[in-house]
Amino acid sequence: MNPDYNKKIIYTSLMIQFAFFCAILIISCSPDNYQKFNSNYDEFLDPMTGGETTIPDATSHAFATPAPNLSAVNLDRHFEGDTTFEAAFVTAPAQINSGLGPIFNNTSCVNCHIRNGRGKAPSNSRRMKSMLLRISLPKTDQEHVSSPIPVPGFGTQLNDRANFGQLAEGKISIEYSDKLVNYDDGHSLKLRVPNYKVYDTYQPLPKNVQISPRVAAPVFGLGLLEAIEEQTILQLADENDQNSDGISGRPNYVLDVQTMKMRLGRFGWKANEPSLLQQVAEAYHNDMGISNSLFPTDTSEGQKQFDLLKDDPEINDSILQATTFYVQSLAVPARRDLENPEVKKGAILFSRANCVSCHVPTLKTGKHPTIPEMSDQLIHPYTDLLLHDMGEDLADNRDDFIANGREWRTPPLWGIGLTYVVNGHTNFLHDGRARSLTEAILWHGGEAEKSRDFFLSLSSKDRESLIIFLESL
Amino acid sequence: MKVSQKDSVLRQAVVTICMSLVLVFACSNKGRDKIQAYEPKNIIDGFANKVVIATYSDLDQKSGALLQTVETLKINKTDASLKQAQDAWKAMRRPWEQSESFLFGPADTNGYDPKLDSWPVNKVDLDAVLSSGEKLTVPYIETLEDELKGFHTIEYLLFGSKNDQTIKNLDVRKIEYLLSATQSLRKTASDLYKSWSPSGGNFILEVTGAGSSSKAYGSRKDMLQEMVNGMVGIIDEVGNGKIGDPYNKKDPTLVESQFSYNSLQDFQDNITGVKNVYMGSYTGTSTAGGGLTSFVSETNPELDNKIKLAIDEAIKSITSIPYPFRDSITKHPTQVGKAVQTIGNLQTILEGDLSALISDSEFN
Repeated sequence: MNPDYNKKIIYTSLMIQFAFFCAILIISCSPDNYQKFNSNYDEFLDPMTGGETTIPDATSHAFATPAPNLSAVNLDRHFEGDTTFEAAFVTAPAQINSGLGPIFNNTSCVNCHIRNGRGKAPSNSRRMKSMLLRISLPKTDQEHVSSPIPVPGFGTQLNDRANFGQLAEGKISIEYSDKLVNYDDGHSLKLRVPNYKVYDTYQPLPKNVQISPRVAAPVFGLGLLEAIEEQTILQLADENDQNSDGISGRPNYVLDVQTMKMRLGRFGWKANEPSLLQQVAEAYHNDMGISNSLFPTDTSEGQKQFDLLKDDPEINDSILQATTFYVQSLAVPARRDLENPEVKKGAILFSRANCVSCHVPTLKTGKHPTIPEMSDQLIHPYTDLLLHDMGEDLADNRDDFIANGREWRTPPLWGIGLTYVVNGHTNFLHDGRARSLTEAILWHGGEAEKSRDFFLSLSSKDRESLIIFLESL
Repeated sequence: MKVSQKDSVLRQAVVTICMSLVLVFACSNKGRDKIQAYEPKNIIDGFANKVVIATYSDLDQKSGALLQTVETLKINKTDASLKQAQDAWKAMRRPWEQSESFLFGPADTNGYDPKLDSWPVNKVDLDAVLSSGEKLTVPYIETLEDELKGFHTIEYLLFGSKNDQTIKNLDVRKIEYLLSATQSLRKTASDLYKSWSPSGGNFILEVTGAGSSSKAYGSRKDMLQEMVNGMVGIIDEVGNGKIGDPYNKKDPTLVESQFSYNSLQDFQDNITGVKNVYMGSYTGTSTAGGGLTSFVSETNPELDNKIKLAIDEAIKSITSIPYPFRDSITKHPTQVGKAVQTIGNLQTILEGDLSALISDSEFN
């Protein structure tokens, strides 16, 4: 064979190899690569948690940055919403931000969702600042799928604050007691068990009142969750556990107050809100006493605190839309520490523990009805947006549409490792009882019992790896 | 040497060259020149001690001075005492506004910021409280909402609704409220200082321990980015919010510090706070080895000059707006518009060029 010809073949072959190698490298480094994951664990190591809405930010601003792919027009809309999200309301009549109360839980969105992040449970006997109690009466069989039944004189949320001269509906205190959990390796950990007390109510609360404590949840990435097609969520459901893995997962169906029809719920600790518009409108209404087009009167209507002012709705639709757009269009922080081998090891353990059955790592968004930037994104929210039985210890024993008292919606885990830098604490779960990610895992029961037991059986080094993985989210 | 051996050597050489090329491309980060490793500890330590702690310490002291003047006002009800208290309020306002370029950590997570600086004032409830028989003690004021305490409630009492307060108008109830609200403000300012101080909450350690002992900041690069984000955050708020909003809507009710007509000083101090962080000292002048400027001037001197110039231009554009700001939004739109533009320019440089420089650095 002609040596030159031979060399030419080798060169050609090498150049093809080189081009191929470069192509692989470029593709794997490119933020635009969402196509597929080559190995089983690649999806756990994709830095682009929110697809094109991802930002590389590990600072206290990580939850408060506009999605980088917003158009100029939408960026302006986002900033308008930033202002309305921060606006503190005051007692009517006022020149600006009028209409607070008469009874309420807080004066602005950001006062609970501090830096757009997670609320904190107060320590023993301290006043609640970024959490609240939902309340209702038990359902009868006939009302199986209807809205929570309001408590006469109180509604469905306890407002523990009031305008001057008005009576708050009551005060709340939390007392914690200890509960010991033992690992298989002989180590143990103390969990804190909350006990809620409602006192100084302006009128007696019925004895059969059901109480559900809830901390403020992070508000970024929600536009992406809204863009997930209903079918995608329903495909993850396994209501009767037909695959016999001990995990069911079922959708909540809740009232859409605009159409007055039942619709898939996907937001809130019990998936009790069907859309971000309704979530925001209800927060204005229930949390701040601000009436709006979706909830046109004050929560105190029919109670002695009602102000009789003819000022409803207290915010116009442009404010409601601006705040809604704000929470729809925030960026999702990128993953960190992906070069750390412990992260990959933790991801493998997370998968082996079957956490992924509910905390689904990867989903694809469909078409967002109004924000194209949220459409067709491959995202890693670590949720299925479905309800799961989490066992007796976490049960609030309060019905919320279809959700029963033991069920909670799988909360997204994206950004969870940044909780401390953003909010200065590491309190997790619906009532913030867990003081660390480890405690949060140990509280899992019900459908998640096997996963928790798997965690209990791990060596301390492996437990640490799993936590390091979670902290990289 | 046989051909096949030659080819083998050649093949190895080509593979090596290719791999090296790939590595070079992969590490060059979009073709930018590789940035020399730089020790950022001085910048971070300087920021924490010479900027943050120094600013909060001054805030704490100025809150004490304000309280003294209000105590005097209670005893000696004269226009001169009122003026002294007004001046002390304005003096305390300055370190606070400068501190808004680093509103992270306890200022937010412990709720000190809303407690000190909530706005608007809940005038309906304030009037109702004043007309009531409630004892206006400090613990009582503490139970009220943030919109009934802090800087702006005190401002409203000290200055009236249009910088027209007189001692005659300050009745006993108003002075009692003023005193308790000022004591509460003083306590919050001290708590904020203590929360950073090594002898108190020691948050400073989260900052200076970035990349090592810090639970919040896994790398020094993250901490430096926090500093840049803080600067960008307040610049954005001044340009687009504090100045831009009332200017675009021509609405003086949206103006910050509108009762005292102190808005322009507030805005100027906000940008001065940015300068402090950049230069690494509370007085805004660079000290040896400190300030982001020490890193930028070594790495990209052109950018360093650009940033310093843009900061000074931004401050100048604010001082060029005629007093009071609430009137200028309609009477002097050219100057106000110029300020919005100039501040926007500073924002673009910091969130673009400076942020990229930090991001491309090899700090860990």
